[in-house]
Amino acid sequence: MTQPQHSAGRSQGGRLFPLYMTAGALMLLAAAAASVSFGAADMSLATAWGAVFGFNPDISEHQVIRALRLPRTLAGIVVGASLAVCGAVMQGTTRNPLADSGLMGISSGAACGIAVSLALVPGGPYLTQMMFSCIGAALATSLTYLFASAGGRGMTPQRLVLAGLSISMLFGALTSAIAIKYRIGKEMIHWTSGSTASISWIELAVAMPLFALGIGTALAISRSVTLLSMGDDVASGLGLQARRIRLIATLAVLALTGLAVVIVGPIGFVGMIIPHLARFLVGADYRYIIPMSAIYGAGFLVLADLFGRLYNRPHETPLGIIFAVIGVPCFLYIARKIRRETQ
Amino acid sequence: MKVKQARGWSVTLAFAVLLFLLVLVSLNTGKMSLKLGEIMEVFLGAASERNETIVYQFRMPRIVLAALVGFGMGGAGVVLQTLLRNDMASPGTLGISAGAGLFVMLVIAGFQITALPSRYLLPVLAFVGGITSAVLIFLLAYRRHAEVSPTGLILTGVAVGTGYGALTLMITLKLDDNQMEFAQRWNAGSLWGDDWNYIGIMLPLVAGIWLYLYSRYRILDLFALGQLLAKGLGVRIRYQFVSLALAAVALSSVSVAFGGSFFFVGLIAPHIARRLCGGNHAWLLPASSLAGALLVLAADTLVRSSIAIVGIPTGIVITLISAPYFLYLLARIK
Repeated sequence: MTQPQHSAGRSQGGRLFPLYMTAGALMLLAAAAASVSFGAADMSLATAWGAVFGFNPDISEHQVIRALRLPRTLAGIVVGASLAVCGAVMQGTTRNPLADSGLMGISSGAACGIAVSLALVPGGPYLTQMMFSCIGAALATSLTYLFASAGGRGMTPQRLVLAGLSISMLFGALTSAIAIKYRIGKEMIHWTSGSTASISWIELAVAMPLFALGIGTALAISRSVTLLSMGDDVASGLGLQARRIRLIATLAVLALTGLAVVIVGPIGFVGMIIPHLARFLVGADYRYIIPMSAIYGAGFLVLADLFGRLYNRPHETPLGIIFAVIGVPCFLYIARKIRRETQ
Repeated sequence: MKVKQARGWSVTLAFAVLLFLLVLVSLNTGKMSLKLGEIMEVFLGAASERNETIVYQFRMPRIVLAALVGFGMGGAGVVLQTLLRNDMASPGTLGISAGAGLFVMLVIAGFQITALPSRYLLPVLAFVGGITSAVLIFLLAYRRHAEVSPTGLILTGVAVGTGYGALTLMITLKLDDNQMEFAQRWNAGSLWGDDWNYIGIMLPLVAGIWLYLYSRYRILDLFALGQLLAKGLGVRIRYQFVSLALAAVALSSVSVAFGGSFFFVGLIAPHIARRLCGGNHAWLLPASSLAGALLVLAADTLVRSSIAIVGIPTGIVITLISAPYFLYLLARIK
């Protein structure tokens, strides 16, 4: 990428940024409204509105919306934003266009942490699961980075994907082994296929502070991420402490992935696709890419969840499948593009 | 070269002896313990009916199946690596196993799995799935005016494998409880076809395809030098490449159909063999196949012997053993 192109992209992207953000927010709002109204039984938007602002416990539809649809929609927003922001931060700090918390084994590590917590502390509080999930995510991340950066030529995208693949298979196998050994397969199904179906308000309440913290951190370091994405030489030349920023970025990624996996289970590809879309729209500046990713990621996940509920009603299609179907072609396209650029 | 050949010969022999010993250990492993003498008696036909049933009906089929699956995977892996000149190629990383798996799942969903026709249908459809996958990956990774890049091929394989995996999961979710459990165990690598009826189908297929590959070991040696050089030495590149690749896909598909998915075996067995006996396919191919058989049988014996992990599908144990080795390889490769 040459410098003039880059700066041109930034200024234009910066001008259009408020427009894209408004469009994204409107889309998210529409998706959320649809997600509250449509499901196994359709309800009018007015009923949904009533359930939120004039709750009447005698109306069963209000009950359904309060207990099932609202938390589910909120969970979709939280998870979608988390995963997309994770992907954006990782793509920037590792300069790797294929980075994604699902593909890099982080989500599998988190799921494995949950399996350990279910096996060791059955029926333990929700906070324990979240803690174990984050520890698992941390373990998987450090292993993936370690093996991808070992050896002569450093961390190429291809190496990162292969290391992530084997780390996620390793943790996946561990998870299945634990699930079979401790007979927690039924409880684990929720975390292996990726579903927002059984979210409760308490789970969301526990996840919320972590979510706010993670997104806040990502936004706070977004300027430094932009510098890092130009390469370590440029970044340190401009007086950036690359190491410290990477550490903070990794911690934010771990928190966000951990909470996303606790809520819906390991989902791949969201974190890879959305930041690319954002970059395409607003250019290479992460001050714009990160908030864009949050909004569009949330909208995308809510829509995908809605589609999973409506397609093949009353059965649910797990999110993991929907994202794989959308994500694989995008992955192929992006991988092909990098190869063309590097050759 | 001479030293290497001598080593190849001894490594292959050592693997064969190890496999034989492992079979003996494995025959002794299980819920009911049999002494070595009692097993000998069974083979000499002088044992009690109970012991005969244990050995012939329960343990032998399982052992033969484990060895065959590993043998096929190890052989297919080494051929694919040589043909593509790519260290990371294998039925697993190229998505061939996933393609075969998808079609196996279709058979499970559509037919009664234990019924007679599906026994023969299974390997055929698995092969169709494997070929579909292979062609798809080649088309996606292929570009005009450029050699197919090794990493590009593997990235494509991984992506296509993920896609096939998702489709398989989608079919799995539509199954009834009974089929679902089978599908989940199959997916984890459970060596389900441990029955002489299945082995009767699998053994000739594996043996036939393997012998065909082995008869071409000189051509594989030439492919290892690079396609240009092989062409210069008079190999009909396109014909040989396609027929050898088809045979390798068929071999791995048959293994997947009856054994389940074992992602890492086809990747690791060739590496172990290549490291110990060099690049001469006259020994590399048998050594790699035997290494695969050893790996699967060892994992399966472990599963059956230890109370701590009893009931866990063999594939999971193999992944736990071999993923670290793969990571080690990845760290060493430039």
